[in-house]
Amino acid sequence: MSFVLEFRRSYFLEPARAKAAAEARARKAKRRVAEKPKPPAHLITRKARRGMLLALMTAALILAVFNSEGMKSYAWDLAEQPMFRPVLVLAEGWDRAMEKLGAKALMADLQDIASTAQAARWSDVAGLFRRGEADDAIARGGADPMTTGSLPAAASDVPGGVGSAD
Amino acid sequence: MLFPTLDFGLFFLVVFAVAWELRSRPEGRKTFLVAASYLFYGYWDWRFATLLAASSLINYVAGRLIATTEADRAKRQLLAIAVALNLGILGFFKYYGFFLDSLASLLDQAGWQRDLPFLEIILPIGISFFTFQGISYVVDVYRKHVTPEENPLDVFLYISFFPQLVAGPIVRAADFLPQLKEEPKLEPSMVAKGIVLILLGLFKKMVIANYLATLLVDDVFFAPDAYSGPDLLLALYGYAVQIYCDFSGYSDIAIGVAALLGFHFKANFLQPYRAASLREFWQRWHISLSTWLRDYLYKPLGGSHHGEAKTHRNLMITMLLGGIWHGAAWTFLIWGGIHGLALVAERAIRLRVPARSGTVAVGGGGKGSAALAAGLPPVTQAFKTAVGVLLTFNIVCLAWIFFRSESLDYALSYLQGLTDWSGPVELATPFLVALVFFSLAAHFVSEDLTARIAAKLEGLGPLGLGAVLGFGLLLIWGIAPPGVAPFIYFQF
Repeated sequence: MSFVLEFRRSYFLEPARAKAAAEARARKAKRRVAEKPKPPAHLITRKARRGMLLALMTAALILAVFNSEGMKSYAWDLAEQPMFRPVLVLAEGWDRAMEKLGAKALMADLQDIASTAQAARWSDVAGLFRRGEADDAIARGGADPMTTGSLPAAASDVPGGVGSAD
Repeated sequence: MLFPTLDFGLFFLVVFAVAWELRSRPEGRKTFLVAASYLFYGYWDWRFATLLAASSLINYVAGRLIATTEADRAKRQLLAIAVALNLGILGFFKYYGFFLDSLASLLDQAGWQRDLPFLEIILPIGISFFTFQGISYVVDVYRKHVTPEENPLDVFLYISFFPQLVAGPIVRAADFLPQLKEEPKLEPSMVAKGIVLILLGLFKKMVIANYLATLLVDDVFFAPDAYSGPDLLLALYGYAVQIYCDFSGYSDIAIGVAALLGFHFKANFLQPYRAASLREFWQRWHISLSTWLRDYLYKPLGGSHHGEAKTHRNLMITMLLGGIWHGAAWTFLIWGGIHGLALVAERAIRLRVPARSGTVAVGGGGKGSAALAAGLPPVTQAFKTAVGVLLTFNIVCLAWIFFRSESLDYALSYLQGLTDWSGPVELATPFLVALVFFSLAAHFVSEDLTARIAAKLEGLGPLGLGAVLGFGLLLIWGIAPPGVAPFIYFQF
């Protein structure tokens, strides 16, 4: 008898309850949507425009803080015309202030990364992989394959090498 | 004015603020956008702006005349005159020097040395793009695909709208003009899409394309006989990546800037190097030009409706003219010829071999370049697709040799050098190899990745979006090589 009840519960009652709950959730969500009508297009546009202007201002501020050097060089180009000389003075003052704050370091770091990547050789890439193997080996509790492994650690370990006994 | 400059940043800030402020006054908004576009274009040379205005006026007047004329014959004549005027302007600026040189050398060979009237003609930037838009407008008015505009501002804005003015995408009147009739709308999704596309385009152009040009491609194509086969091959693949990143980068920025101003433009590139056939390649590469050539050249020639031989002829003519459009040089003609021949061969094979492989679905979601129908086991199908992608990519690269080379001699020297693998490999640094490899690998990520990133950004709010834009720009400026190189397609 209990098997029949269990079968009824599993295959009829629970799916029916789940279905009713899902329908109730859907009705609730639909009500929520109906209760909160989408704002008119012009309001969406106004909000998006303000948001975008704020985003542009934020981006400009980030660039002015971290790339004051770029602003200074732009002001140098402008200063060819006398009317823009005050802009150059302002840009130079701003650049000095950012340097004192240490904000210019980020741009310099990025440029260093790019220069290092450009100057990398295949041996550096191979070294990176070997370094990875070494870290794995050390983590496993073994010796560093950079100095041991299949390669001799020192010239004296090579038969017939400098400092060997034979 | 170039996109990746502070000048353009300031220009756009003003245009964005004022254009949206004028949204409730359509005429004022359009007038302002036309003025901004002319300022953008005249920034290079104010005389170019005069030419742009003349071209717009010709097409506006032609559209009105075609619309008000009753007789079909007269309409056809008006259309022919308008197209001839457009092509005449384009031909004069693009091919005058070439024809004069050719004529002088012909006369010279015949023993008639003459001082021909020499004119220093500067090619106005983007002339092909706005001419093609003008032709598209008058032809579509003639075909009744668009309603002829009564308001000249609409036509002037359609032809001169600054985001796409100098290097495409070539926007159709049927797509653009109806947008001017509606109230301009800006939604958070458009803002996020615009920011993602602008950052992506700047990264492609300023980082990938500029590094490949300065560290690899320019030197190798300048003296191909000084490099070994592997270096030449790397530079060739590097150029394939460079031109893609340069050109699609411009399109991305243009589409992104237009989205921020409330305009929807269609995609111009869809990961072209994942194409498994030349036909598919042209459905993914410079889509606005290939569809323009299809609708205004290939189909009027007869398309594929008059037998196999005529279809092949039409394909060849279309691709050869597509080549010549890039410039009056044998190298461009051969570039078009290679594409034409490959398309003809592919079509002939497809007609003869039973099409078990089904159809190619472009832009149909993230399931790979070729969504192929049933008939073959998945492994065999994947192998066929991989072979198709490799073959297509290498045919395209072969054609790029002619496209990029200064002259036919340089191109032949490049081809010869590719067969000699005895010299030292000097240019294959990890940086350049990684740049080429990852840029090509990026063609195989999901097609809707950009849309998904934009969707994620939508919820960030203005400050978050500003931070993404600001730090994104900072990263690009930080790692990009110094200097601002012009876009390759400005010269066309």
